[in-house]
Amino acid sequence: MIRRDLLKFGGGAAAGLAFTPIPWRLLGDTAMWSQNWSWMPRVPRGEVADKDARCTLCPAACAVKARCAGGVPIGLWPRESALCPAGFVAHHIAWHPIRLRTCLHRGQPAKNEDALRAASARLSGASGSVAVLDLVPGRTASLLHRHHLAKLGGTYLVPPVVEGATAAATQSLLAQPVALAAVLSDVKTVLSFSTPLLDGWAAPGRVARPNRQFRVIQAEARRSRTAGIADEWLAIRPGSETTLALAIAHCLLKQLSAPAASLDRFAEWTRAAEAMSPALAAQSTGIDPTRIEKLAAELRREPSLVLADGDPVGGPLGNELQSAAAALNVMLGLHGLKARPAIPVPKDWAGVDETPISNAADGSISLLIIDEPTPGQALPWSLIAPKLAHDALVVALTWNQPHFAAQADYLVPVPVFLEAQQDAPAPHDTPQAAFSLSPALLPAPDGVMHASDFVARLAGDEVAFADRLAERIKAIGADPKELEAGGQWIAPAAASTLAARRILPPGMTADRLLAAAQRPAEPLHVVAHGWRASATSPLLGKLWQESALRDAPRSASAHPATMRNLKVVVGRPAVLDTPSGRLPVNLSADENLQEGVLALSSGPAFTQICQSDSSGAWRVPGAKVVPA
Amino acid sequence: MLRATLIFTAGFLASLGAGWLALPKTLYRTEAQPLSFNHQVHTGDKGNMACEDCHSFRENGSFAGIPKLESCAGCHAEAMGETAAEKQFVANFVKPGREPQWKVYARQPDNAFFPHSPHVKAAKLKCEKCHGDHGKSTTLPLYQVNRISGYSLDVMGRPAGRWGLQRAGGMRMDDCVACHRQNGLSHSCLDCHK
Repeated sequence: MIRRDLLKFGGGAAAGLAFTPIPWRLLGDTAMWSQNWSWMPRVPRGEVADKDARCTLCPAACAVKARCAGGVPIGLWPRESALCPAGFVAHHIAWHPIRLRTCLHRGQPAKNEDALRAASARLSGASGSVAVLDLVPGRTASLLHRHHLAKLGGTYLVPPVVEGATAAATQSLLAQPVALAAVLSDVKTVLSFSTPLLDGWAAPGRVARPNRQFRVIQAEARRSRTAGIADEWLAIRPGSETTLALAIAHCLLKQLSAPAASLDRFAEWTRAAEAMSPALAAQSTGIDPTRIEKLAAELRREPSLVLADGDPVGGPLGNELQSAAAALNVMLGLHGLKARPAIPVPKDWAGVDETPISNAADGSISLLIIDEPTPGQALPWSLIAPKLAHDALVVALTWNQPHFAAQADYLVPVPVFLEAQQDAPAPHDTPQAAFSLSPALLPAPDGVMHASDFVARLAGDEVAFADRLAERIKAIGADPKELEAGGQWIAPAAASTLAARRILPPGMTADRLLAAAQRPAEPLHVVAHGWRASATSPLLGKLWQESALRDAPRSASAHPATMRNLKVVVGRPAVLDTPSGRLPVNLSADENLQEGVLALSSGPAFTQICQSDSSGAWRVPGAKVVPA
Repeated sequence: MLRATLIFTAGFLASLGAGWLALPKTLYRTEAQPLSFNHQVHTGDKGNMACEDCHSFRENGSFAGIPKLESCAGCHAEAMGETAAEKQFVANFVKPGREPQWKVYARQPDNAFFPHSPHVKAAKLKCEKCHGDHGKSTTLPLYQVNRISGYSLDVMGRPAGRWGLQRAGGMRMDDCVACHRQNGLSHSCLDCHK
């Protein structure tokens, strides 16, 4: 036997192999093996049963039916009229690859007790104060944070209001301030300034086409999904929304009813509105003056509502525009805005007031605890960083790993949707103060800790969140079994009549409004937008992005002429270069966009490069796109 | 030249032998069922039971599969006969209330959805159409599991079965599609891969 014989034998064996099942069988078997890796979630075998539940990922708290196999949820369906895409896959979040499952200290594994000890040490030793930044205010956990912070002498911080911002701005104009909800079913026309009204802003069942009894006019710089399915899209130049609002007010002033003229600060509002004729506004907005006049007449003819809430990821639209929208609502008769009663709270839960993060003193926080229980809360770090003391300790109690990985000293995992009972904040699109609970259908992984329990232990309170939640339910007077079974407690609707006392909030002047209306356009105006649901499930993000139904995070589009000016081409790697940092983007051409506009689909990375301007809007000033 | 051809042929035959004879024996390992079970005692003259008496449908129409211990305990709270298997079942499972962890011959991959209800209730298929004479067996067949994929031989079928060289067995996608095609039924991907 020589080497050549071995080669011949091997050749024969290789030829023979093709005529055996070995290669073909191994191909099939290894393909199936790859479907069963141990870390992949497996659907348990067992009885398939449907359970009624509530989705508490957003304030809408939609009624869902959870199909469970062997007790584990494998699918969610709407129990009533509709469910948003995020709701259909909300049960995926527990298995999301970015889900935080263990405590991390600067990227290294740690224990929750380490984070607690470090926080306690900071509380007892350093000057300055403790603050909790609640990214989803309005929950029972939020009330408990405020209660515990009262014991600790701390501050309860909330991010800028985005969804519900117009209602909040209008609330400050009332003779007797009450919480307001925007009730779309009460109006015939809604003028929406860049608000994702039909795409996640409201409970989908209330804005789905068959149920919609109101007309939507969307004034927005890009053809968003809301703009695409609205009754009319006003392709406005970016940053000129306040101009359009003032021009509409200019037209409305001519037909003003007497009561509005008697309101406080009316002269200030009139001065701003009169200075902005439709002809002048047309130069900034790109909308024909006659269309502006017609729009004002349409709004006046029927009960109408103006909304300027902004995008949950792209951020608020600025105080000036929100004030102008609120003033327009007062001029139009406060249609579509209704008082929303408060949901009862146990008597001994007194707590500190909430403080907008922008109002916190710079350098005042030595211990910051961030509560991020669900996906979708964007907040630029540039809003948080100035508030921290030099050696501040940051503890993020979060469901995901990457969001605060760079800034937080400790990342502490929290239970996610369906792993613990959670309540939703009161919805902003219904006057009914509702209390809903999502059930605990999944076992929470070892090591997760409810954010409320973390703050409670710092305050020396050993009562667990689950027990506190039961206290709250008792105080409300709801039946815990019905809530657990997907029921909803609804407070009786408030009967108060809304009456405005002023037309502009204190501090808002005609000069500020006009300055916002006449702000020079940026050479490259970045219009950021995001989608809450994209973070819920990697599967959904993949399906929608691959089908081009949604832009993937970090995808950017511009008019072909803009791309020529920027000397960038589609398909080549590019970078969004800003004074705050650089962000790699995937460019595509979109002829629906105006020249000089870059529409950026923003993920968490966007919050690292955007800044809050003097009006509170999130912008990316001085941006340019350069080849990578 | 002859020597070269012989060596080449030897290699060729060695591969064929390994592929057709050795592979089926090495690819599968045998796992034991928790206890011996006699279907024939239950379905024959003595028991006179039908398949659906134990393998029932739930109220919502879904198929319950292998019966739970409580179903068996309804008759076997105490041993009814003299067989060692039954005594062992009562002592080791019924009395302590321990559910037997049966290995399921027909368990499909997780990405395949097979509803019994439309096949049995609507299409009126007999159980034997897919499960053969399993209901008349006196002992349980060997449970052979693929070492790589983790699925049963009764699902994947024998390697040679695809070419008609062996009794194929198995309940693979090809079998589902063939039956649907034969009966003029739809067989789109999403019918089974939901």
